Amino acid sequence: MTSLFSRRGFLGGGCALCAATLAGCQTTGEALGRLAPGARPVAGGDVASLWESADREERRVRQSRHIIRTPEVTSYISGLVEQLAGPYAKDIRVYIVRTPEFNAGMYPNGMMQVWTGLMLRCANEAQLAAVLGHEIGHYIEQHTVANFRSIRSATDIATFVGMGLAVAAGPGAAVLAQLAIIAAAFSFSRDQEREADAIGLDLIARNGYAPLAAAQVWERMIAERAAEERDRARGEDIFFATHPSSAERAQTLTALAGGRTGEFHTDRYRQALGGLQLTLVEDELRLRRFRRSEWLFERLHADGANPGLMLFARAEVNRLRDFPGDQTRAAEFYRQATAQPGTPPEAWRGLGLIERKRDRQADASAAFRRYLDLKPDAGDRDLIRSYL
Amino acid sequence: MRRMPVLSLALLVLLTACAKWGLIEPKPQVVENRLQVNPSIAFARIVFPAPRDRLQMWTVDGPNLNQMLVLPELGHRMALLAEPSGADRANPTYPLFRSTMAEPEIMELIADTLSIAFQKVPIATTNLQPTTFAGQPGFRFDFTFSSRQDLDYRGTFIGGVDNGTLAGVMLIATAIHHYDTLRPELERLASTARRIRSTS
Ligand SMILES: [Zn+2]
Repeated sequence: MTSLFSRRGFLGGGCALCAATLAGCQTTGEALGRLAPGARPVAGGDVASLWESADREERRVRQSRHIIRTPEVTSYISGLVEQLAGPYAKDIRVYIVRTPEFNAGMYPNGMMQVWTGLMLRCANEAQLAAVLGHEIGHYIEQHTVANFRSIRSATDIATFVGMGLAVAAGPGAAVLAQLAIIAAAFSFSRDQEREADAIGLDLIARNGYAPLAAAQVWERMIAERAAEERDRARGEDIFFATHPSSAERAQTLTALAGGRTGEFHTDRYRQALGGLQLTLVEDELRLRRFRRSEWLFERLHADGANPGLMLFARAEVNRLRDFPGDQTRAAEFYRQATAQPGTPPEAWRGLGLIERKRDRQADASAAFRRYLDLKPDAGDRDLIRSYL
Repeated sequence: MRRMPVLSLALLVLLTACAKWGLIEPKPQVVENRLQVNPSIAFARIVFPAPRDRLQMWTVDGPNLNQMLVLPELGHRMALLAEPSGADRANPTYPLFRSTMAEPEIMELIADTLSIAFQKVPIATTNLQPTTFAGQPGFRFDFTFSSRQDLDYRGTFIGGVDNGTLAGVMLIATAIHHYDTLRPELERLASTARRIRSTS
């Protein structure tokens, strides 16, 4: 089943700050220099197929069911991009893609994708702005176009391979080879990432944000990955050992920030996300990456983000994982969550499930009743009622 | 639904280039020596290379249009789908079943497994109800989701836990057409399901 449905999307690994992909083997295109604002680069010519693919992808994305269309959220994000992109604002269109991964991507035709997993992970507006600025940097320096060109000219081997495959496996293979070239155009070199980092940092600083936010996004991502790998490496932080470039990048960004200060806009960020935050939390929980999720929610909770929701999230991680001690911790977090504003009714459901498992029937029933009161149309109401 | 159109078959072969497939005839079928069901129509069974999923996949028109999934038996601390090769044992890709799970938790387990398998799409579950499965108390629920290719799917799971193991049948099919067509067959599989005890 997996294999049938896991065709990689056009964006594939995406770009943003993607540590793992930095490990060499990309072809760096010769720098093309800055794009002029408003200039729609020559359609046709040697990059024609890149444009066609990007435009086709954008038509698909525009119709997609996986795009967040909440007007308050979309206008907020578009507003941020507009402010950061300045003279390029009119050339960039932003789409919020509901995917629980830390990513954003910039297509050469001006389509920007912001994934919801990135929005969940940013602690404030400044951090998100740093990533958006980085993506704008790739766009105005035309990195994708440069890479595409160099791949094409360096290897018409790709075409050759494509033809060979086409003979062996039918016409679909040629399309796949073409897609592979395009995907490779999105693998940025270390120099290109550095350039985009510098532009991003410059853009946020010019717009009054704290420049340090750029390094912070990166440090958080490193810490989250490290949390996932901690056990595997028996206590050693193997993420740092295997991804020196990530740590180096965070250091460079910190140095670039210098002592400059600015705004983080933490409250404004959380307010703008509003009800979407619950969706982002639920999508993260679905992945059952317990160590990463646990680290993330603990961190967001410590940041002061929406305590009712974060306590609920931490409880859910413990309940779903169900390792020794997790039930007790889950019950404790649920109890704290239900005493806070901003907690979803599902906190009562979770508490009921835990107490039922711990043979505390009265507590379980009370929690389930509260859940059904708060969410009378819940999808599991009939079965929950059978527990009362 | 009885005949298998040539076009669909061609599509199926194309889509499952590295899988084998077999025929499920409309007669009582014993699945992995654990669960007996009695289909009234023929299915193609898709057999993926090892490692094997716990779910057996049957289809009429190809897995992109409909999948009838049969779960003969899932034991404590096992996942519905096989780990991708090279996966980290400490961080399993798919959630593990526990024999102590309550019905809403098993619903979460199944929905989250599908969500991960279908490229991290959100899955909406509804209508969780107590029912009877294989002569024992069981449960059922419905779900909907859109694939990353923006195809809308509907599904239903019917099953139950007996002796600490989970068994069931599940339909996933396009919302426009195939779900309604195959729903009666899912009900038939569920109503004819019989668990087979191991005698050894
Ligand atoms: Zn980048």
